Amino acid sequence: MAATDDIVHLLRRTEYVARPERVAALSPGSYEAAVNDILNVPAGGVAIPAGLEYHDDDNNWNQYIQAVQWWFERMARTSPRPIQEKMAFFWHGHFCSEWGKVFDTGAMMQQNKLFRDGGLGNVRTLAQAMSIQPAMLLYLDNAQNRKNSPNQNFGRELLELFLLGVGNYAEADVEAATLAWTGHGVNWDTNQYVFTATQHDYNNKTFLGQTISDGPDVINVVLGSGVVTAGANQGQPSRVIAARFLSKKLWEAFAYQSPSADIVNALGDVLVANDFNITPWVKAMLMRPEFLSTTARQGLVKTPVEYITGLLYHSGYTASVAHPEWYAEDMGQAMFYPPNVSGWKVNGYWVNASSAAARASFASNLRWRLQSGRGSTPSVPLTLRAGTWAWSDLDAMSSAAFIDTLAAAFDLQLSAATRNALIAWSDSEKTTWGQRWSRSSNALLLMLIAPEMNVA
Amino acid sequence: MLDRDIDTAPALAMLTSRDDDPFSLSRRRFLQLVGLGVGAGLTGGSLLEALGGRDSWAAPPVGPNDGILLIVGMYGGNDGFNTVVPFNDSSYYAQHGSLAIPGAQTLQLNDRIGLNSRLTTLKRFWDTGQLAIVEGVGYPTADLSHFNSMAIWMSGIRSGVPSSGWIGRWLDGHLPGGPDLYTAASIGSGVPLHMLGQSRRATAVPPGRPGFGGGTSGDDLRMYDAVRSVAAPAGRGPWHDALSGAFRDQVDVAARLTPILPSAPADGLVGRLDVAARLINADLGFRVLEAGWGDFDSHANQPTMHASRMTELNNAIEQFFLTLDPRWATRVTVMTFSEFGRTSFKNDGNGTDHGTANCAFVLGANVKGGTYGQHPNLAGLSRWQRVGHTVDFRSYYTSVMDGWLGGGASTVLGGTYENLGLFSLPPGQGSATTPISGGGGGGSMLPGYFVPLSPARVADTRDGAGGVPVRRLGASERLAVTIAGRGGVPPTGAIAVVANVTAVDVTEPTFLTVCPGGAARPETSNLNPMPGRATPNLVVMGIGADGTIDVHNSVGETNCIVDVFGYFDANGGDRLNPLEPSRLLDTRSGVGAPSGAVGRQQRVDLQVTGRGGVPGDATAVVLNVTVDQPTSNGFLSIGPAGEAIPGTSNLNFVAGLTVPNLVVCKVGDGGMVSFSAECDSLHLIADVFGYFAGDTDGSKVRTVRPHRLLDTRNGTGAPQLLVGPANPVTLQVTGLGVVPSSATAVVLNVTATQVTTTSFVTVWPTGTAMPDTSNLNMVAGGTVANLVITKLGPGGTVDLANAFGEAHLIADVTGYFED
Repeated sequence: MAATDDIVHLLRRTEYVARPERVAALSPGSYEAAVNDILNVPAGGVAIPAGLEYHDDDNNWNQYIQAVQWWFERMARTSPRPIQEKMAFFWHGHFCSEWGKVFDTGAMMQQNKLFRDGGLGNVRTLAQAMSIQPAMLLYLDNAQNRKNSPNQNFGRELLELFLLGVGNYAEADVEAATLAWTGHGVNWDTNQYVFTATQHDYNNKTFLGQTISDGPDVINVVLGSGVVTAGANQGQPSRVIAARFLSKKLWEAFAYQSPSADIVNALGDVLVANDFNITPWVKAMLMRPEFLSTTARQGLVKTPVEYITGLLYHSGYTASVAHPEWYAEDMGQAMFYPPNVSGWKVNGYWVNASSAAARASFASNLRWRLQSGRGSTPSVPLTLRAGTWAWSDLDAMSSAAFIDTLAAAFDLQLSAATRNALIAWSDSEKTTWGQRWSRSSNALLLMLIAPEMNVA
Repeated sequence: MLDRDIDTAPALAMLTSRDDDPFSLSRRRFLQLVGLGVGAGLTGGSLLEALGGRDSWAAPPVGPNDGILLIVGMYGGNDGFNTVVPFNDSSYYAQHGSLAIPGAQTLQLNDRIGLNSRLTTLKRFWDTGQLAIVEGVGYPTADLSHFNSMAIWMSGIRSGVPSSGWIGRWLDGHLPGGPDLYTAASIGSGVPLHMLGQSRRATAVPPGRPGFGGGTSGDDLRMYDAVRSVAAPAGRGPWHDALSGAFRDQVDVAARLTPILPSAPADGLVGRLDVAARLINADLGFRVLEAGWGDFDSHANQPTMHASRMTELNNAIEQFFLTLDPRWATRVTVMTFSEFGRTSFKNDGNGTDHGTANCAFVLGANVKGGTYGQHPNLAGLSRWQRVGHTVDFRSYYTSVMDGWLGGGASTVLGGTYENLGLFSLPPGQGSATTPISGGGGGGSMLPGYFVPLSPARVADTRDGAGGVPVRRLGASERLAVTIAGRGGVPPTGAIAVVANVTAVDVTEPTFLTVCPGGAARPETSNLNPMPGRATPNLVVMGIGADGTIDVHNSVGETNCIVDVFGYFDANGGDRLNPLEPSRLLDTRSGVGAPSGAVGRQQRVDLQVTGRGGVPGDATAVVLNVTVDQPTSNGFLSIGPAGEAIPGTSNLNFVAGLTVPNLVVCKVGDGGMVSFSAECDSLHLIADVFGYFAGDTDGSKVRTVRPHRLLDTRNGTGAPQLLVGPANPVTLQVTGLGVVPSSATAVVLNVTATQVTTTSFVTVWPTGTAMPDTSNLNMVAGGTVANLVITKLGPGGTVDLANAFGEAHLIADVTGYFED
């Protein structure tokens, strides 16, 4: 039987929030059984929602809103195994494309479907597939990569940001990769992938010490027989270096920043040993003792998307009501709009005053909705995912009971620092004639912006 | 970079802030579209690493020779041909067709060009030699995409993928000190590329007040205090503490900016440039401010659309200089840019299409007016040909960076470009004023030295003294009182007056507002008269350009009397030396005079020199005089010893009530001032707050447009709470855009209202012990005001305390003193 706090931590990192029913279901079993359950995603894939299959030039912005709200709903409520969405977002921030540049709803949603359906599949398969989807061909300009006028944008990022990491290849490798990908483009009428033989360079190229011809060879060589041609890792198998490169990024998305070489190397070995299959790799990460360490438990700040997802879950408001798309952008993380090809960063990237203001703005909006029923006749009780409370009961509580009740309702294990501050504040809301009306309303906001709500 | 342009409609949407339409894209989104990080999305994360996970905001004040730059972006592509019209160019009329503006309809600048007729404000700058027009500015190999062209302009880089902007890199490399929230600001919801560096970036300042952290109700303030009081370290690791720190920073920053920002900002660019000027006035350290707007993309219906944009630009620049405190005139320059011009040929839709080279404006007191570059040559162009540029945009930037921001252009731009020499003087040099100024109206640009006068009456509506109408002032009526040339005040050179204004014979409770002549009536008050008694109050007020001050009544009718006691002269005189308050006279206890009540017309000569810090060479003293226990209604006159008791009044009182008023009195024979009352028996109390002397040290006055700093009724300047003995107010006076941090003392009109019990208010410099003095005496239910001249504490704050019960406190500033 696993420790409940281990299960709670595991669920928060893999399913955004620790749903009580999931905690109850997984706690009786072993920790490993819980990991297996979390990774046991339904087969068959998830269809692109109706209305988002194709681009509608006149309605593109509304399509974008629909896509964002749908994805938030997947994260907060509708995905039976939300790690699918965690992994889809991980790959979205890794193999970046950007809605505005691609400007094709269907292409962006096809890529999103690939990241969701294949996010726990195989890195090689995923990389091959995303390389020839219009979303990537357009975003990194491989659609203009032609034999007589090579465009290095994709070839370079494939090595630098997607697979191998900067410093592990020579400029000649970038040139070879670029030539190998010539001719893989987009049909300008249909916006679908097309291979144009006349624009492809059929010559053999030397890439990471191997002889290649076509674009897919690039990925196969990096994750296969290639040899690092530059830097400190020169001479080492490129698949090992690539596996470590990806493992560090995975660990930093799920556990904490700057993992030790031991962790990175061990996870890299798992990835290589499993021929770049993702599920055993993620499982190995979740099974590491360091994943359950204090460093890991305190190691990540919620990204805006994770923060919003948590608030949608706890408040019970749907994305179509709460409009997270307005706020996510102010917080600095608009889905489908990564800031650049290197994606979003973690932790300190999200900790600054203006980002705090944007989080408070979203939290305050939800707070007003949550307490809006208070003035109705009859009064509508406070209704959260965790339960309902009559306002009069909350008003009657002592400060400590009041703060503890709300913290539990939001699944917050408050630090003494926060709890003491909130209890002292609640005391200040007492007047000679009773509780100030502001206590319950502002308590909701203070809960939603507490540091404990903002750490992952 | 984008390889395909996006159509005009979505392009415009992307340039529109989402303030009004939640579904439109903001400029932040636009920048993401060109593949750039904004806000949290900086590429390297270096900013936040440099910040250690926290924003820091220690703001050094702007130095006396630091240039401040306001950048105005005109997005969508402005039609430069119709902005600076080449009315002698036949090709312009041939190609622009019906869109072309006849020369007679322009504001002609010379024999060649005229400004668009809407640009009247810019014409005034031209006429004073303070408008530079850079013609034909552009960049090599024009890109006709809004996005790419804007990215080029914003980055200051012609080729490659930009990751930072030109101002951002200037901030990175050419400003000393650490990252600072108050170095550069974008007025709006996002920060555009030009304001983003690798390690520094501008702060986004919304034109309205911040949502979270900007509230002023007691509920909000207690909640913010809860956010601030989360202890760190909390034992939950560094990120927990960094997060509580970020929220603490937010409530602190919001609290800092909220009093500066308007509660109801004007729409559009006007409101945003108003905010830009307020941020400069506040002296928080801002060196570069930015505001951009559109839409200039006039593919169709250009005449209406372009005229609207020109009007907006003109009004916004006018508002900027109206709001800007004139003290900043020689340190502020405004520059404009647009991503491209438009085609010289009119299209089929009564508009023009994306063009190339364009004109840009640079204006300010130290700008060398004139034209630079060359107007694009239109001769021989065919329909789809576009003009070439004559000035490289990097040359334009070089001229501003090296000419105004202290250098760095070659590093920021990666090359050396011609400096066009756009400035007549470096920042802070000279004493030029801009053709539009006023600090909102009524601020003095020159410091004033005090000249004390024997008291004299300059207006009395009861008998028409001073040439005023012989009738009571009606509701909302304004009385213009001529000060210059009256009562000893010289006809010219006086910039402010010390006067006692008295309301008598009022028909209903009202309030009077005094302000410099000709200024819009400010939201302040000076007197709160009630029927059945005369109500006086001292004012230290700027004199309007016409030599007058205005007295505005609110409701009912009132007679009005104005007595002058001195004036401030720009050409020389005495300086104020503020003192920590001390009591010089109290007839109840025998301080300064024998113990015992004072009788009718019993002259009391009070020794002021050699006491309370007043030296022997003091020419005038600032006293707060209080009448206590008068047996009848009456008034008190104060004048220099050795002269006849003047026919003026300082203080009007009602039987049995305690009434104070501030007095500035010339020191008479033997270092004494004289008191005489029309009342059979009363007690006199006088507290000294400062003196004037001809020292080389001491402070000169500067007047400001009257401005409300404190109103506890609505949370301005202090929590929205009644003030009682348990919650004295510490009022921030400096750094709010009205009084600079260099101020040593401030002139405040303090009002108490909603008074629950008989009490008094004491005002004193923060950081010193609360003195045993009073400034304001109140009774239950009353509203009373009194002028206060007080030293400022080290942080530019003063403390106000109410002794008993509760009252709301209001404080309006009319001037300040600086060394």
